[in-house]
Amino acid sequence: MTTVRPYRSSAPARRGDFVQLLHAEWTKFRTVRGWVAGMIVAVLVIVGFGLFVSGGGVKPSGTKTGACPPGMSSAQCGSAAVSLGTPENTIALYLIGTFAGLIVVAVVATMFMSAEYRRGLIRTTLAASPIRGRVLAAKAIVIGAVAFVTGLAAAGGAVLFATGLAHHRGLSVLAVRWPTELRVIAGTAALIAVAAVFTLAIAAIVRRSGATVTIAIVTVVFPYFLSISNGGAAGVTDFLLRVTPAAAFAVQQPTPQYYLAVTSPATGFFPLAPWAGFAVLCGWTVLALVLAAYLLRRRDA
Amino acid sequence: MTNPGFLRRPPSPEATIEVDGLRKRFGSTVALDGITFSVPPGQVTGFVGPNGAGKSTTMRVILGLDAADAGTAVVGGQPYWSLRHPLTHVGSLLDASALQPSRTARNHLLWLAHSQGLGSRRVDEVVGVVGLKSAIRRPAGGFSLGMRQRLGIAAALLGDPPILMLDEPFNGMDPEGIVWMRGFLRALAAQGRAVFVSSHLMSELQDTADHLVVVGRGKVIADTSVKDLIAAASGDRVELRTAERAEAMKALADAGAEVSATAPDAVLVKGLSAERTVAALTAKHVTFAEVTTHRATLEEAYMELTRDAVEYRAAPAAGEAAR
Repeated sequence: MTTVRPYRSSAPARRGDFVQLLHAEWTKFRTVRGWVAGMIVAVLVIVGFGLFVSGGGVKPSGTKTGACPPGMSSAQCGSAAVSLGTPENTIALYLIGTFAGLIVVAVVATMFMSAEYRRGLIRTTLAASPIRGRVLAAKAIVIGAVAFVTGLAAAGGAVLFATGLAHHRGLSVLAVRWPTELRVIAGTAALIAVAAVFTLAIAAIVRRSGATVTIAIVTVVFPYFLSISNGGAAGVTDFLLRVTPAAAFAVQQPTPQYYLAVTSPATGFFPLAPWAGFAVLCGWTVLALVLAAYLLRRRDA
Repeated sequence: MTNPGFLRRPPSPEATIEVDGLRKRFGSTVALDGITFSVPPGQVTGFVGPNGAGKSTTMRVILGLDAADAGTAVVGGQPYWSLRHPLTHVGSLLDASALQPSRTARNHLLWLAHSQGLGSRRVDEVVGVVGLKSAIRRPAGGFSLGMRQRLGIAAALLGDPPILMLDEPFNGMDPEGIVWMRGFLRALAAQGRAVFVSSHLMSELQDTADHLVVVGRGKVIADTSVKDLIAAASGDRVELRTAERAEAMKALADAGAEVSATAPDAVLVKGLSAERTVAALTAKHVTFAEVTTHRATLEEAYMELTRDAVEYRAAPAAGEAAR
């Protein structure tokens, strides 16, 4: 080598560089019509489910107090049910479509990453920004932000329209205080956003769209689905909703205290407190991102 | 056809690629076996070799996409990963089909431009240069390979880089496109840029490349100027046309030449100059129509060089074997 230039003379990257990278990834996202359409479909699906259940598609849940959950004495359980009366529906029920919308968002998040591998576009991306961890960070931020906005529109719309429809039909809705309602809506948006980032990280690890979508559905949606459909033994679903990323559905729990006849997430029962459940998903996501960053830096593109 | 003189940056003295002792294996396959060469500014350097010789792998290592087991690759004296806004240092085209099919060509260039802090005006400039203006708002998935190559060239030019590195840019181009590409590459080199172009077909680089790096089985077989390579491959050969082929071959063989018939009325003579060939024929009273000093094409020179380095080769055709 005959050059006299110092080894990394141009290296100190400015903060503006990362903003440029975010701009590039955002441009990538918004210029694929199918991905944008996917996010709109996710909103429509979640709102649609909400309207369906409040519009009479689902009969109001039973009014008799059923079995008490493990860890709650029958006295507590009975008094909780009595003190709350027998509301037909909760806002959690109106968000029953979250799992379906989440699947759509997970597919888009997968494609946002795996399409680059499928087409070999990842090489163009990494040639344009060789610091690979920053590429992953930019992609995660973009898909997370897009999914959050999607979730906010979906959850807000579902609660608003479904509650309106229920009132219109003369059905009572379990009243919750506005901070709780806000937490349920923003929490649902956060659940969708973090689940999208989790899926993106999985896609960066396995680099295949089919496998990624399968993993996302099995870990995030399936345990929740099992519990609302009463498909598994109570002990198993309870355990799954504590340790899998699906624990984050607890953010939809209207209040931690009250307890209804049907002990399922559909009526607002989760084994973990709202933010504790959400923290489980965040933990998995951080793990997946760390592994994805490690592999992305280590593997040949 | 197109004048790339719009490019704003003056030729940079940093327009070099230096590759030193690259080694890499994929499992049990040795892809790069100590590749060393450098690409100087102001020239088109051809990077040729049979398929599987290690050309694309070398380019990926230069761009920091693949890690080499040993050796270094620097662009303008620096490792690629340390470059800020790398597309303003090196414009590269590895695979023209690496596109999101539903994204329009313009939007493909737009995200690339954004990643380097460039705006849409620069996108429109490069689109004009490669002659894609009419198709630029169509999804890139519908592009022919030739159009994708032009789009890839546009992407490589976005950052107005002093170094251009293109992997098989002639693939899938129609004859008009090939002529355009040749002129374009020459014009870019004339501006002082280092232009590094790979091809598995030597004929594509005829009249384009000034310098050649020939690789086979992960090794550099030749690192030479095109002129020298052709001179070396032409050797001491003379082509002869004569109606009396048998007599001519006997006369020349007696004079110490190695002769072979190439056509009913043509003979290839090795080991005698044109003058001595004429003298030997005249002495034996053999008539002939034409004697010319053989000048090898680039293709022949290349075949000569890579004869032992071709990885996959068909058995010789029956007629050739019988000869």
